Amino acid sequence: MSAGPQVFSKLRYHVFVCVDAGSFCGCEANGSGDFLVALRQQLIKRRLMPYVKTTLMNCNQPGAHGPVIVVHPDGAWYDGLTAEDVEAFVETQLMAGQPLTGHLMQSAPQTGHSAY
Amino acid sequence: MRHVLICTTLYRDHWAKTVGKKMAEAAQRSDEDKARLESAKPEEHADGHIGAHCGETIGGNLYEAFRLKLKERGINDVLVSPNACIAQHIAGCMVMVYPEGIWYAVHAVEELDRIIDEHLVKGEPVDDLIHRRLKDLQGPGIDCPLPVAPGNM
Repeated sequence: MSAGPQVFSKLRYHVFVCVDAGSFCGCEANGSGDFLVALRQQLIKRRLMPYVKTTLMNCNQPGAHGPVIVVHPDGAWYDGLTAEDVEAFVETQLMAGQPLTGHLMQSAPQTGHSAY
Repeated sequence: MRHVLICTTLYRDHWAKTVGKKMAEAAQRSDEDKARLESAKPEEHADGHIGAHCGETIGGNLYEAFRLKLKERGINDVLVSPNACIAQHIAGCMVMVYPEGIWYAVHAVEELDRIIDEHLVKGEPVDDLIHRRLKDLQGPGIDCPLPVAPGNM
């Protein structure tokens, strides 16, 4: 995408990737940076950048394994995803809108539409 | 349960993660580039972002204040996270509330009271603080994405 004012008229998902470098959740040590790079490359390849925004965050989730990823506004929490899972993640969670089973975070906060 | 994300980006962190690497490479190429980069003030490093980053204005205060205010009110069903730059800081510090997809532009700590009391407690978004309300955040998946670019990457 070119630099300049960003318009979010087509935005469907806002994906947050934890990059906390502390020992609290260990997301960065488990390769969240690699995941983020692979995810952005995959989104560019599939021309999905207007539909998905990716942002760094700190997850504040003790006991999570690996990079924590939140897909808002559905509120789908993932952990343990690696750069190899990016294609399945994009096709299943983002394009089809179905949760990617097997990597959903256990005891995740209920932050989705259906939560209230 | 809602997830509130507050931008706490510091310029030097953002700079180091994005353009910093490229400029460091440029500095290695010639002494002239290196001298020019070292003498430049932080705000002179053009990274496409206008204005002070949130962490340098009130972003860090907002994050701490928000957690404190929730604790004072005894609200437990809101998750607060700091997040990195989303390039909206020309409008103010971003406080994003999901799953509604509402981005507030906040300029003072006192405005957090309105967000908590009116939006998080009563469920009525504070219209005059809204910077952007994301639309089309319903329905499964992405509607009609463009095809994969042939030969791209």
